[in-house]
Amino acid sequence: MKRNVSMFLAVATAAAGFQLLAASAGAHHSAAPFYDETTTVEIRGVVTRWSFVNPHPFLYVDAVDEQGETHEWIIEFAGAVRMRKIGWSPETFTPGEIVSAIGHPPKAEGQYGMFSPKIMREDGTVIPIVGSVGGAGVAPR
Amino acid sequence: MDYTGKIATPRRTSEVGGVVTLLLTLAAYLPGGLQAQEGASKLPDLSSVWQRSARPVTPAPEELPLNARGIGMRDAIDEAQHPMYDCVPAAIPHILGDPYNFSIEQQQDRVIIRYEKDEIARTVWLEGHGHPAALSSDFSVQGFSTGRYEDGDLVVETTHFTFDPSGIEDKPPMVPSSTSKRTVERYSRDGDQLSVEVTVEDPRFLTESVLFSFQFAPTETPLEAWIPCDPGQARNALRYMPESELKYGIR
Repeated sequence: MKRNVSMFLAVATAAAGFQLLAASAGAHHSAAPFYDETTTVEIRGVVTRWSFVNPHPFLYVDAVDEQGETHEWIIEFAGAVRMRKIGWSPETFTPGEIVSAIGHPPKAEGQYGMFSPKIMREDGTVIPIVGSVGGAGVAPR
Repeated sequence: MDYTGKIATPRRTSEVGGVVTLLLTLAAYLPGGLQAQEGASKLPDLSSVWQRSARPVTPAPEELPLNARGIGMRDAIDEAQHPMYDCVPAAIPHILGDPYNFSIEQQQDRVIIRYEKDEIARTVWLEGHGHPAALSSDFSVQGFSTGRYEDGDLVVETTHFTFDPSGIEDKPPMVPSSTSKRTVERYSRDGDQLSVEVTVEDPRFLTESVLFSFQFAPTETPLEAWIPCDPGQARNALRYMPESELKYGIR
């Protein structure tokens, strides 16, 4: 499976040896019915909205694919209360800033979303996260 | 005999025994004081904030003892019917299965259990203190709970749950619970470990009861305040299910 999704570059990676532990990260709902845990994608784009709410916080990112088309990606994280315990807040992201994310895409075709990905700021700084692995975050408790 | 019953229910018939029982009965209605002294060896200290210390042990979905109706309900329920996608709080036993903390506050006539998740607060009415019986209007997501101290444990019985599409199994394949669902929670403290065993009965859907087990440890960290649930975004993930996996072809 390959998807062209990034602001500048699309990367699809067979997930052997790189499984994000999304299924256990959510607590509210399982990732398995919604996200393809056999594949990862990487996007780079501009934050348009940061919604620090329950049952999950959502980061809205506009990313341009290889064809020059812009897609709105909705990145979902573990529950807001759990994220706040590691310092996340309504100010964690600011509209206009550039972020990169590596995670599992939706199972449904034509949808643009991720669950609990490894996420980085424009300078490459990895933002600690609850529920993701691969050196990116804090293991689920 | 449970602790509350020992205080409130006279069993001795001698004159001296009657006086003692009368005093103890009166003590049951005083804050602290005689009751605390009398029951100190049996009344567990559960008042704390508790955090998960081990993975929950829950029945495998395929091993749930469902009757024919339960199987039919399981097969009929699809993901989109899960109340959580409308910000409806979880109920016992699943409220204990997620990695959020909860607190127990022991009062004279009740126990208050507050959960970090979903901002839930449950009142457990302790037996022997004249609490009102459940009414039809007490049917709710969390049900109606009464409790007692028994052999050093807190035992909580809950009935009057409303129908819950995820009441027996909350992960796919979900299994609902009926209004006949009844749970018995046993809170057993051993040092810094709190064991919570929840027995779930629901004769409408189950052929026998099922057991859920949880382990917690005390923490000094106060409960985090809840952050509101946004129903406008709570269903976001449902759009990611592929058409081929939609049970009814609709989201």
